[in-house]
Amino acid sequence: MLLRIENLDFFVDSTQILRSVSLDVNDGEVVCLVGRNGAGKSSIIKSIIGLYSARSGKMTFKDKDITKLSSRERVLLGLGYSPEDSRVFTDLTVEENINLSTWVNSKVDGDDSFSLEKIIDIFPEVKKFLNRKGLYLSGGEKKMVSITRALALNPSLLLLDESFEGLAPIVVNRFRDAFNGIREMGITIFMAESNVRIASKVADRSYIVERGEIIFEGPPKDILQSEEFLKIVGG
Amino acid sequence: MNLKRFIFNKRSLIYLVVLIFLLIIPFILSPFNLILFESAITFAIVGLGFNLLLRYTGLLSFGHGAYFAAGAYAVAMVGRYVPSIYSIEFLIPIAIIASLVLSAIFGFICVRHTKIFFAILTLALSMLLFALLFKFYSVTGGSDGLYIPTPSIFGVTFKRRPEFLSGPYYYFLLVIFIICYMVMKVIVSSPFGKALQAIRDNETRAELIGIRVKRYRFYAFIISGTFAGIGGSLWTFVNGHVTPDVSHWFFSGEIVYMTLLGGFFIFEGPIIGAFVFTFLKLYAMGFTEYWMGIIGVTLILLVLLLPTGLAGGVVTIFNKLKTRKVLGGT
Repeated sequence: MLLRIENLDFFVDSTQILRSVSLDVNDGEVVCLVGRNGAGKSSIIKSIIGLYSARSGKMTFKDKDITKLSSRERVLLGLGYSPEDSRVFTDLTVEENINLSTWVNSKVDGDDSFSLEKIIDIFPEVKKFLNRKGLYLSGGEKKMVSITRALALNPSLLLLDESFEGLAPIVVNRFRDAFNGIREMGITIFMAESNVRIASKVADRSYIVERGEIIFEGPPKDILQSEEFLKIVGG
Repeated sequence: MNLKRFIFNKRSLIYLVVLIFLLIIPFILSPFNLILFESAITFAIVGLGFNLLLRYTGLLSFGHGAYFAAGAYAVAMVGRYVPSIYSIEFLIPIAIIASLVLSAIFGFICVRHTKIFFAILTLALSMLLFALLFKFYSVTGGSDGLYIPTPSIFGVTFKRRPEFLSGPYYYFLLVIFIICYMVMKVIVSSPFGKALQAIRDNETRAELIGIRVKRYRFYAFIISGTFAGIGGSLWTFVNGHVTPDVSHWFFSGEIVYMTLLGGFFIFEGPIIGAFVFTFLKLYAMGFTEYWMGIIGVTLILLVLLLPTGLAGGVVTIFNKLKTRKVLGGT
């Protein structure tokens, strides 16, 4: 078991956002959280990376309790994160965006087979605009850079928040191929996605999130075959 | 081929022209204007440091006068209490240590906050130093301040201050300024400088790629304060006298002003701002007793017409002309 979440509760003031969320992610899997906008998918991802503090519950990553760790400590343990809005550093070039994490962390946990060249090969398009500043990237390019940057720290688990959101269909296929490349590198993927049809193309397993609760766990094709589930996830 | 390209590129030629201009300055300017020019160089060093916080880290300090004062008073104290080592080669390192220690203490408190809280904290701490310098009359000379004797430079002594300021000190100052310029250029282009820009853009994202946000801010604060201290120590030799006024928030405001005047978006902006401000202030003071009004009106015009400062304005005009040329317009 790579990641385990047990009975996670998260509140904003007195409003409960996540209700007793429990889930597992195994090594080498692609697991997808599906649900409508506002269902709580991003809150789960942000709680895992440490941007949101859980009121109760427990999170273990590589058998280590990470519930109280800071975001930075979680990242250095092997969690990578690409947010919904990409958050590319606008004043830095793409190359600087990608390299920065390796520059500032002298010891990047990883095996000898890991190299920056290899991760840029996931999105070879990035090579074309390595010298361009983050400010001048399109939405799809920003997402590529954001994922590549998250991979630069050689994570064991990559958290992706709505990576397919707003992408043209042809680019979606390109991202799907890239996900296969990431998987072949031995990196586990845990993603949040509103579009269940896209999720079904990339994920081995899925969870449906509705009003801050996990209401289903199983293969994405089961969601596509159920009218009730499709109604819930807005498919 | 690379060496040839390096030597003969446009930027290198600009540097060369500026360097030649700076080298012949003592032969062009009157003694009075040369002293003003020397004063501007010291403020340019302060501006370089100040902009590391403002432009590259996104922190607006209203207390840089404190670190300037640390450097200036370190020189004055040595002159008063340990005159046996009153030589510029000892004074500069002592001033560096004094401003570094003070900025480390103040920075430890300030970098935990950002935006208005950071600005107010830096202002409050500098006013604390002002109060100490003002009240400890027996040590600091209180409001009278301290006299700064003319130092020796590498064993060479000077009988009169004008003799010291007319040439030898100018070239010494120029060397220190070039070193400071190059060091700051290296800092902002280094991974450390890039990390600071990442923190300024989005500190949460910066943390999520493993950057120690507070630690990096702290280092930037110390470097910035130390540059202010170097500027302060060099300024004392030009001014010949130091009072607690340099640690007052009003003086810190002048540092902010000159950086905005030159344009903090451009690396060289604060340097240009320091020169324009130094001459503008003195000539405005000579012109009218309401010189502050002139400074105020300049600031209003600057914000309304040239929000990116003088350097930013020049770059914008240059880019527009370039675009027009490319498009073949008139």
